[in-house]
Amino acid sequence: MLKKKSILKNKKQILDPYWFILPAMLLLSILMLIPIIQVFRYSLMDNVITNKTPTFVGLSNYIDIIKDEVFKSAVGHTLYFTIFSVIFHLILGMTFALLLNSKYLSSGFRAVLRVIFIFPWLFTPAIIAIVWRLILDPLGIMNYILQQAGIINGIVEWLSNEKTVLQTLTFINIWNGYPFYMVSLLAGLQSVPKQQYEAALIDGANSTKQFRYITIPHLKPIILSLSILDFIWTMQVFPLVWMTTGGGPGHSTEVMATYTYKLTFLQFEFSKASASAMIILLISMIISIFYVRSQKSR
Amino acid sequence: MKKTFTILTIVLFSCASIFAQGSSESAKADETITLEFMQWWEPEMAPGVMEAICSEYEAANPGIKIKRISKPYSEVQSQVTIGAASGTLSDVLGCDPTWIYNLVKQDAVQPLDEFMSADNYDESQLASISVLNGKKYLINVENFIYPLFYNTDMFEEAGISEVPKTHSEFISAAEKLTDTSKNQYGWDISLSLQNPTGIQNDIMSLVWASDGSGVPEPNNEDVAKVFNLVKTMNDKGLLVPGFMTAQEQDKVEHFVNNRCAMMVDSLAHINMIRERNADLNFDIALPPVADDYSGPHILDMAAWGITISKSSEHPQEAWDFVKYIMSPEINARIADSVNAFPGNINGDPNWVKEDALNQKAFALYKDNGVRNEFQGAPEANNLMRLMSEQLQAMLNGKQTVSQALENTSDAWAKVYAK
Repeated sequence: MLKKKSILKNKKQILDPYWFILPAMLLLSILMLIPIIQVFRYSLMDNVITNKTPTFVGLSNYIDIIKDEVFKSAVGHTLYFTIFSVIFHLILGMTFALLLNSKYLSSGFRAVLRVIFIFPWLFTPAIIAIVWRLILDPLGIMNYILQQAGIINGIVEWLSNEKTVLQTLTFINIWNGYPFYMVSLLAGLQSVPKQQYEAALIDGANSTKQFRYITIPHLKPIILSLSILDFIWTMQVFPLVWMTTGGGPGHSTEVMATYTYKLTFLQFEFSKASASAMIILLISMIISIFYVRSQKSR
Repeated sequence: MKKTFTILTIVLFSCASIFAQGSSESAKADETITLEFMQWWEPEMAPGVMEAICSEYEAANPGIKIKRISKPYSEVQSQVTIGAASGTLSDVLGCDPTWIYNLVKQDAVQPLDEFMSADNYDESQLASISVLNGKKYLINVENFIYPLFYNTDMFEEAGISEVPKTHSEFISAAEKLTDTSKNQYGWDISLSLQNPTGIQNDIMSLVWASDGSGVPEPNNEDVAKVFNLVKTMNDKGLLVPGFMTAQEQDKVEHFVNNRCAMMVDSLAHINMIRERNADLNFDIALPPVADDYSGPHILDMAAWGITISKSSEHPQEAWDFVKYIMSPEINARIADSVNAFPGNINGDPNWVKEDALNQKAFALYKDNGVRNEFQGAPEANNLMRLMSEQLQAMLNGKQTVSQALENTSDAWAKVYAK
């Protein structure tokens, strides 16, 4: 009898932790798992919602999407946009973080710089899109300044020319996203023990070597996490592209998110849109695995 | 474990009591019927007008409450797609006639025939009803025409005494009006893919002007003439730069700021143009027609429509509210607020009597035909986007006019074949 009670008690103890995670698991299931399963189910049908009697078509929607030239170019644009954004976010974020951490600046001046540098991060995508559309209007202030400075002769259609539009959008995204890196890296820089720099100085290490052998190894986990997270977030960019160019001119700024949106809201191809969304999810999940592994190794 | 169980029990009891209270409250609320009314009209109307119209209805109909869901046009468009898919559309829906085909296809809206015949509703008072599969689904509440707006000061400065009537005259006038040193251009269009209505209002409006047709088959002589006109204007540098991603509001902004001399635009923007630049001298006229055309002018017309959701639990009450909105007095009040022409032909709007420009607008509406071939077309916005993509490729030198028309025709055929 006592043994039975003890087994029951042990079982209860084993179950205890699961009770604690039950609310979170329930919430995640309702908000994440069920919609994902539903979207996956949709992606295997000929078309849902507009078609009252959808039929199972297997992977046919996935094949159609992957074969679509517009989707291929959207993947290319997304990768270009994402890779350059992540690289320049890191470079700018690191530069400004080092500047703000510098002992040569007074604390007052540093506070002013901190406010200025963090400014782009405070705007919502809608505001960013409106502000930059106005700045980059062919008859707007940017062209005027560049013309006055003698850098350009005529009018540059930053957001309407197929040759410049993707680079312009990437630039706007870099401007908007670097403060996140700057803040995170600055926190990391402030946690590097000063003694290590002092010891390195005694050993004759110059600033470059200190940066390479002390700063970078300390910041490596932060850089890795930031880059992977930024890659996932940037890859899913939608509002900035949609509100500035709508994926155009032509398909020159079509990214995976705008491609999926158009399938849904303009073409009413809900099943194909689901297949496209599942592909984006799959890519994000693959990158997420790297993130989880980097977190585990810490 | 005991503690956990106790906490869970308390939480469950609390939830149960909250829901129990909720149900008793909803029982009380059952006496009042709430009709959801989603539209983009209120943000575009004069402040307070829509609120007053709904409040007056509530006062006259105790037991009915109108819950207004007022959002910008593009947001309503997205919400309508989502609501139709999930069966959660508002009871009464402000609906662009270009959306109705897909809503009917999704079985998301109700036919109005039964309500009309049960009430012996006089349909002859309505300017336009959208009929699909032999049933009436949408009533045009307000109609907006798209004339040619032109800057009279710029015309005077360029020595142009008459408004261009044909494509050739239009090009010639645009050449005289364009002065890049002043950042001043002859014509402005908006081909943004985000909201591709520029195809309807800037491009197809000129096709319809000469009594041409482009829907469902755009590969024809009428559309080719307009594509050639746009290409010539673009090649000669007479269009405001940036038009490929410009939206309608950008076009209006350029006109207000003397950046462009001519644009085809909605009459609804007259007040906004005046507010933004009180010193701007402008007038309206009929858009140009093809050189060899001598028939009647046809104006592009957009509309605000109204329909009833199939998921509405109170369809009769929803219909009563639709009748109220379509009554001559209310219809005219809405029209006055946005410079529109009432969907009820008995409506007598005051704005058309206010000044010479408004009187001229009313005369244009009365004396000429109106057309919009995208109303009731399948995936109308998608059709416009597909044409815009081909037009942009043509203007970027990637294809000829005939290739652009052929490709548009192929892309549209796939939409119609669905």
